[in-house]
Amino acid sequence: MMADLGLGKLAGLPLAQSGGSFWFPPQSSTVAAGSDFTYFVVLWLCIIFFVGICGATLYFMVKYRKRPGHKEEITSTHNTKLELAWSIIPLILLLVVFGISTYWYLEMVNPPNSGVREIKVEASQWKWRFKYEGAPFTKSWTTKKLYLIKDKPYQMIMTTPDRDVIHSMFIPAFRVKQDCVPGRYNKLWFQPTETGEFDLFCTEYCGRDHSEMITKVVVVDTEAEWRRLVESEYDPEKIDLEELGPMIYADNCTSCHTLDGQQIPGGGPSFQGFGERWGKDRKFADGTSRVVDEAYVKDSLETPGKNVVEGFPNAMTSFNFNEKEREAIIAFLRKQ
Amino acid sequence: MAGGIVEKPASGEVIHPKVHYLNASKGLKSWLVTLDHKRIAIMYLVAVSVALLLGGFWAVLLRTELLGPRDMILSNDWYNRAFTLHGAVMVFLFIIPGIPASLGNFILPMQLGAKDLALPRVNLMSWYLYVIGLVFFLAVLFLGGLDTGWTLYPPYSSGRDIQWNLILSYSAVFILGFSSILTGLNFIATMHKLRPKGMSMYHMPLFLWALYATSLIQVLATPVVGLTLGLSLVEHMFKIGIFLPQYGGDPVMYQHFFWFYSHPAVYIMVLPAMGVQSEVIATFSRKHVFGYKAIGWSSIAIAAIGFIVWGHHMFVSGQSPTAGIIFSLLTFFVAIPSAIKVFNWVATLYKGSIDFKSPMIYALSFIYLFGIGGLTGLFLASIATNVHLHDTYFIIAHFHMVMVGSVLTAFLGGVHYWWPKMTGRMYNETLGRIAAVMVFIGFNVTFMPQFVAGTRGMPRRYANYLDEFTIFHQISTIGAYILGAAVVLQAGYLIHSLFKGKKAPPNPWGAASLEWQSTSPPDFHNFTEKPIVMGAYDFENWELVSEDAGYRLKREVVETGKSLSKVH
Repeated sequence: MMADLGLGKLAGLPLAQSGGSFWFPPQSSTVAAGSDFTYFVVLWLCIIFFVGICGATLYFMVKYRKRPGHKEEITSTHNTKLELAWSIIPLILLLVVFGISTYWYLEMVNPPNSGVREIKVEASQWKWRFKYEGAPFTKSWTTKKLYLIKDKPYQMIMTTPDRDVIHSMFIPAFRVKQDCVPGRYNKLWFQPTETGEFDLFCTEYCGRDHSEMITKVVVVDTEAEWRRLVESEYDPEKIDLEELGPMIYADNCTSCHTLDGQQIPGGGPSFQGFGERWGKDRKFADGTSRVVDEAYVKDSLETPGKNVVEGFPNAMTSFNFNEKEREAIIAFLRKQ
Repeated sequence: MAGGIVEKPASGEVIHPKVHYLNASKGLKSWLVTLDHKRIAIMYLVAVSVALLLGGFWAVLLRTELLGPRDMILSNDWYNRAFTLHGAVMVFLFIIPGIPASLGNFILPMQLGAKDLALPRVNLMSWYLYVIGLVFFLAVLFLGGLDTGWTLYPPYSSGRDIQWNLILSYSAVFILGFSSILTGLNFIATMHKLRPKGMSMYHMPLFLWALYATSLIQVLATPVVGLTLGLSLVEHMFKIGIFLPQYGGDPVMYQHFFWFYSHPAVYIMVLPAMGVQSEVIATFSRKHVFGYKAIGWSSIAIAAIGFIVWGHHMFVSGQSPTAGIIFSLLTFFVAIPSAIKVFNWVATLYKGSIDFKSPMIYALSFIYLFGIGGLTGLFLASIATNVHLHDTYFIIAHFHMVMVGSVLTAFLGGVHYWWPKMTGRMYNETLGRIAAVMVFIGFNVTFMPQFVAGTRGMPRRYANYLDEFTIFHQISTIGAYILGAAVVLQAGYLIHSLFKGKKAPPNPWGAASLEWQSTSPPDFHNFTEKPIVMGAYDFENWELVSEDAGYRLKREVVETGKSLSKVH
């Protein structure tokens, strides 16, 4: 598609990178070739100017070095034509580079009109969560890796919780990057063109484990394979309790229960301070009360109408979780 | 008038004055309350050198940590503090004030043939403000350091509970800003008011044009960063929503404000370096600088365009693509005046007599290093490549080539160039050359591998990294050690020269700007008699006496009081 303007693949040694060149990781998205093309146009322009400048300097350094018998000559101290030439020619070249770069940038920011799948990206210290909008199953998000299908366009809707900090999603093989800013919904689209596993880095400094905030993008061929992978991430038997709890919460509870004490209209009580309530009595709308414990949590999940907390509507539907999931929920609630 | 100097320094007789500004009065107090720009400059030179060593210490520490992909000597938390303090100390305490406040302070009035800056008391005040800022940063160190990065981006910085180290850092930058503004104001006033008869703006040495452009930015841009950090401070302490989303603010607005100052600040750093460059290149090739007006006006153009390119720091922050494209275009424009300067320096070498003295080695490495630093900026101005390269090691390599490769090189070159004038002593030329070559090699070994690590995707500010990047980091660290060794060597022979160095003649290099008509070191009043006003690059007026005695003004010049030069 694009002429290889690069210095070619440098064979061997630690520089070899599977599928990549000396300069870059493999080109694995539709915009990667354009970004690299721009890079090599600029690179060759730079090489020409750099060799010119340094070549002239070195030549003068040798030819006009101070030595016995050599004396400086008085030359003209300015030359309008020469000075205009070396101002205007670079200006024109730079405008050409600007044109090429902007052309490819527009490709990067304008997704196709149809068939774009949305993925909600939520970055927080120091983890990634990817929610696959419109996916045909309920466990629609993953935290370990980002799963994509080859040759499908994706639009990322990216954000960060308000109390968190700025992060940035960078996939070198795709040549794309976009910040996740608290309070904002940034967008980024791309279309993978190769199957495989690619690095995904956080590139906006976000604190202690910034350099640990690395995950993988997995690109597969078929819808079925993709679905199997996404669902395999949600296999409660294979997930640690500490991870499972927040996952279940995020997938099922957030529309009614917050963690920061805020009240969602028509929703249930916030989980803030739930851990402190553990083992103590709680009053209900019907005047009864009950100790907050495992059995209470199980009942609240399976028969929520039984113990409606004072001041809240009886609005919750029942949930049937298996034992491991229940334990995860209990552990999660006790930490609040 | 101090001392009994009756000889004419202008006549080129080698006079080693018994009484000069360094010993005109004695005692610590005579330094601490001095209004003499030369003493204030020396105090600045000492202070910025301390900052340089402090920042360099953190650099060596963090490069050592990066020798291996996992924890070597620092935990993640300490690595984060190390790069924050390295950046903050280097930017706010070394590179921004470095050349203008030390070399500029000393040389500016002398190049005008003036006795002092226009506002000597303000000058002393700006030094004290600087020292307060320095002390604040040291206090931050003892309060557990700071791990926000030098850019202090919210919410990571101010979005947490009250932190005294953060409040101190904000205050330090705020106070240092005042120091910077006052220096700039003073320089502008001096260049307008104290030029001698016969020296128009177009006759000033290019170092002064550079300082003039720098001062304009200092006065116009610095208040913005002061206000921004002020707002952040108010928000942090009183929970008023400005930049923090939890109070209804927008973190991206902080970035706009911050870079509205901090991008022009890059030119505060590099313009004075370019000024030094113009002086040194001309002097050591014994040629009138080529394209004087183009170099002078390109300084002003860089300062002006520098104000409207800040958005290129934020191409992936969520700024609109339209804004991104406009900022990309404007950024390309700033490349032109920078290129013009480089072409002019190279043209100045043409048919000269190039003397590879230490300052000249620095100046020639500047052309090479700034060439790389400037040209790699084009990859970042190109928005299609910027998206990939932003916040990777490519950026680190690019701006270090400009800030360290160019600014530190020019600073060191300038210190060597004016050292005989400032101290009255010659340093060991052989060691000087060795150190200059070491600095050049050190820069290249440190930063060239980082470009490739960056294009291959290595993100910046990573305490640990993927194994595939190890080789680039290891080469880079070796370079940093070479650089560190060069700085130690320099400190060694420069300090040695203060006690044991040969006495310097008034004009060891045959330079033509006015400061070389005074004794080395200068009299308390700078000049014991009025210097003869001449073009800053009229080298024809000077003749070599001997290597030890340096150059002296030709007899006809002294007798007629007029320059022999016919080129203007």
